[in-house]
Amino acid sequence: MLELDTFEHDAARLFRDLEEIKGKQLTGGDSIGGVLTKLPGTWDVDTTVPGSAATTWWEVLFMPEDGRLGYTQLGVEYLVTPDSGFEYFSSYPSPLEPTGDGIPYIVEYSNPNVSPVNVKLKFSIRSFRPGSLSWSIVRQGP
Amino acid sequence: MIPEDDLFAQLRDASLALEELKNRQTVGGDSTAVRKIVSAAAYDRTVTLSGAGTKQVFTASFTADRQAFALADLRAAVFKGSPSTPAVLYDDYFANIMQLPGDPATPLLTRWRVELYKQGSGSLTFFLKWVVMSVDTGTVS
Repeated sequence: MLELDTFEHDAARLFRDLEEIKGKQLTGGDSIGGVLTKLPGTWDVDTTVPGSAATTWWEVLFMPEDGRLGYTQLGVEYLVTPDSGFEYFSSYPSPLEPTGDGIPYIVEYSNPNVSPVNVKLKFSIRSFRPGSLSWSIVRQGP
Repeated sequence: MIPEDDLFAQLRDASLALEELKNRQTVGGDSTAVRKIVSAAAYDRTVTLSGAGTKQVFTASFTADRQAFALADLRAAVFKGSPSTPAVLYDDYFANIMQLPGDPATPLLTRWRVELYKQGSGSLTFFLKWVVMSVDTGTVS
């Protein structure tokens, strides 16, 4: 036989809990799982850029391991040797059609030098899901 | 004491609510809390530059309170002469902001490289105020 007083109390408490859970649940802070993807090594790119190459574009590609679209942020650090003081880098989502399900960015170097320089680049990707990171030069020239 | 029929009605409601909760709970839109974070200071950096094309490089930092590798964007508000007089983009300056690579050893930290280029001749004192938009609260410096 039901102990109706207890049952009534428990049912009311359960209902209150459910109402609270069904209310607005804001996501933020530590309720979002952030993932950092980074290749080992101090630098990813360590290359010589000829003085004749006024512009170099690297495409940095993040491939989510589950193949689904995701929100990402690219991190970039650079070092040019010798540094003329007029080195200029920029980065932005790639306008090139991505291959597969990757999320591509362009890192652009506007080279003010007439002599060859050494360029080092380091990349990282922040995302909600893990994945892999790769890069390639998609254009280098005047 | 309430009638048994009402109790069963409440159980049915609770069961329906549980079924709703067991469905896919999508995160996004207005369920994502985004914060605007600034420091308490009138400005975060200042520099005096002379001559056209001269530049100063700053590092801005955001330390999240809880979230590792929090998504965060930086806006640099640029002022000239005083921390309350907005500088004019292109006429007075242009800027370049890039997020720096994250570090697994400091998961709460986000850093940006901020390059400020002066336009025009003469000398000008700039004041910069960092404004961070993030999915977590934290500290800007």
